[in-house]
Amino acid sequence: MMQPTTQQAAALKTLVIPMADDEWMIGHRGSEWLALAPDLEEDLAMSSISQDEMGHAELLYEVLHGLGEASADEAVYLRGPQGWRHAALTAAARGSWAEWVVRRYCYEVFDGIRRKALQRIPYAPLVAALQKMDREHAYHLTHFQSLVQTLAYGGPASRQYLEEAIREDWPKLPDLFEWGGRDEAWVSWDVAALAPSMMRAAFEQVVRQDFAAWQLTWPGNLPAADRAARHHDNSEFLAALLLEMREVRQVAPTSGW
Amino acid sequence: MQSREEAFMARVQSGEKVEVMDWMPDEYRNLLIKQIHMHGISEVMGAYPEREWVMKAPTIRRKLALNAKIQDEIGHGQMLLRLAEDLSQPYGRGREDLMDDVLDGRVKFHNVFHLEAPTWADAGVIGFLVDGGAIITQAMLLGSSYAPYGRMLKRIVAEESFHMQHGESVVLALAAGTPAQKAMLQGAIDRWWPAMMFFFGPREMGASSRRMLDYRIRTMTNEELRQKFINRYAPRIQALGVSIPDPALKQDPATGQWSYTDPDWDWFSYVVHHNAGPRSADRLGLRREAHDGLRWAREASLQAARHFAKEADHGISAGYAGL
Repeated sequence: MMQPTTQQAAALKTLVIPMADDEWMIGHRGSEWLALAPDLEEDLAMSSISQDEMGHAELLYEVLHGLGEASADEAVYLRGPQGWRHAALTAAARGSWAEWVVRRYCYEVFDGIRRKALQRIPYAPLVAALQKMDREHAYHLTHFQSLVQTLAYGGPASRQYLEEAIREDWPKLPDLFEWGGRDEAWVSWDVAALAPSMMRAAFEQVVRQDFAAWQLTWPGNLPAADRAARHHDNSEFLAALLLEMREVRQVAPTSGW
Repeated sequence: MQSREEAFMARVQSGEKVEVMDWMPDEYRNLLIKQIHMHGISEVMGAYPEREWVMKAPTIRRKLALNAKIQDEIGHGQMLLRLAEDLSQPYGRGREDLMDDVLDGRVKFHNVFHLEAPTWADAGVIGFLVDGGAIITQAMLLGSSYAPYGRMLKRIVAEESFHMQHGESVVLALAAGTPAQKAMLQGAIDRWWPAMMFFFGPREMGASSRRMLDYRIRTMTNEELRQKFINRYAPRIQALGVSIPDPALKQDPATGQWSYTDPDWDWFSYVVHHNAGPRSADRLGLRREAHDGLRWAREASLQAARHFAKEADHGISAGYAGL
């Protein structure tokens, strides 16, 4: 597929906007951990990962720009709240260290499943972006798996923090598996793995195995999310996040910075 | 006959370099620890004023660059603390102790990181002037008699020059921007100039700084460094169309020396010695949140490592721990 039809372009946007927004938000929130990680070495690793995520978002916004959407900078700094399609988990305010470790581990597992499914869509700019992301995500996944494992075997207090964080994040996970638009978007590509139920099942399989290896209690299968989970039109939370993120830019929105 | 201490002094004064395993007088070791510990902690504490602006950076590129810059600073802190750890070995002091010291007020950090950075322009000016000042100080330290410090500074200075260019780029964009952007820049220069005059230390150096000169740990005086800074930055700031908040700033055409208004030495000195700057408490609070608040996570890493080492001894698979 060299030049997608109007219908295909709309379908691609439905699939790519959620991923771009997830990557942006998780990187944006990750950058809040700068100079706050448990030690300097972890700070360095976390900072690299957050930069990677925001870089991936930029890459995906450029793919969307090629499909007629706004530029990457405009998507981040000028788009209204109604246009964002991230999952709530990725943008949630900074909580505890254990919560961040669990959030990032769950996100990496999910994101790997989503990327693998999306790679079957024959749109060259998207395939190229996903391949680039794959190389970096392999390190991210390993890093967060090892952090969860460390907390699991780090003594009773550490294990308790970890289990509390899993209980805290578990109800927020179902949103991840939703898309930003109608099912026709992914159905038209004949990629069954993009169905929310399929992605959820694949996620549960991986995490269940890891939890068993780490002797962590399985918190139960995940329910389906609201179909409008990734729509934030009237979200006060998102409005506040955007206001903070754009505080400087809004001084002179179209000026050079 | 020459004592061991005198022979050591003669050796460093003739330009010889000292390695970590070489014998060194306690005075030399203690001066090095003081200098490198403070340098490392200042790099770490320097992350806090700038991190306030990462969440609000006005473009994707600026956000990524600022993120990377702060990461570099933390990396410098990590490398320098490794040096301080090596030197502190005879005292049985390691990373935990060196990091505890900042929270317990036993190590100082640079005056500039106690101050407010209330606008985006401050984030740019920190890169432009503070990193620019740090390059001047650190370039002087490249010739340090303590070879590991000099070697490490090669990498640090190279990265600081990227930081300065990042700061300069932010500053140039503001100078070419709207009246609001220009006013933001002028405000930041007004705030940071007096702090930069203090940055290099008093005109008359203290006893330990003079001793560091004797030992060739450092190779220039405070005043020489400050003159170099003014000479480099005064014309650059003026070229931006921004004024420098010092009516006494003037260069003597015959000697090339700059005269300048003295910063409030007593106030800045009090700020540094008592962590009493306008933002000292907030920034130390964040450091405490990371270091004290997450001590349990560092202990968990050690406990998990012991657990997997034990499993490995018994031939049990350690899952991802082997990765």
